[in-house]
Amino acid sequence: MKQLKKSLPHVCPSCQSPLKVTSLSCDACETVVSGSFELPLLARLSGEELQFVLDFVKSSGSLKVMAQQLGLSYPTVRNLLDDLIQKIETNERILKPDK
Amino acid sequence: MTTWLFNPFTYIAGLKSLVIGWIIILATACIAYYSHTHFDGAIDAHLQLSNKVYPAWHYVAEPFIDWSCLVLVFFIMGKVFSASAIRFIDIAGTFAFARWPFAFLALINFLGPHIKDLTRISPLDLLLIFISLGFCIWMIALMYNAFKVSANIRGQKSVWLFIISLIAAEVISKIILYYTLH
Repeated sequence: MKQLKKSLPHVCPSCQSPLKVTSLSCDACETVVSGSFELPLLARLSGEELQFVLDFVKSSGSLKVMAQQLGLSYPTVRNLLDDLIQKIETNERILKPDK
Repeated sequence: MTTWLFNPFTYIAGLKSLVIGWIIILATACIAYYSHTHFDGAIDAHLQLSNKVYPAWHYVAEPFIDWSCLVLVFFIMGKVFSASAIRFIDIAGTFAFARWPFAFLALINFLGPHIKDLTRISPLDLLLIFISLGFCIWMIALMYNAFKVSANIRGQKSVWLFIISLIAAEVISKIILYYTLH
């Protein structure tokens, strides 16, 4: 049977508000922790975006190295990074509207 | 394939595209010399109908002046309107690379068209005019994508800035070409 790849939902399917973590569990002893926890900013990114962040860190923040590794041009990679920065800033504003 | 035809700048930019672009511009100038094609404006290409002989360096200078005007105008526009840290080498490289459809246009001019009277246009002339127009549109599409990728400006803003910049580059190149080559 084909393994279904699940992705972490970030927004409420009903009202589009950001979701929170209300329960964490231990697979080994089945302990369950309940509460209301904010998802970290990076956890709110899509799988592809998160991979981009990881590649960026692994290449010591060098866009030139990243461009070579991804087979893309330098401005294309820079544009992807700018898009990501914009998304993170938007998420920050949504999560902290008072700031 | 479509990306390679209309937006190769996703993969190639900077110094690499500048070197390729300069080779293309030089090759186009060589073809233009033999097919008597003049690039007398940033997005202009005309077949010389008079018998006047122009020196070879004219055919080389014209496309390089056109390209320089485009790069200058689009770089200034990018610097003013883009929120990204844009590089001069990307604008210069992608705009040089974007001129490659003009090489085909210079080649087509070996076949004509030789229109001297608008009432006597042959079907071959008409076909060549449409093909030439296609290459011009292709080059403009490439330049638009070059601007979008290099300056990271998108949406309606990119369209308007592109149109304004293109007209400005055309006017500036016409003036410079007039005072330097004529």
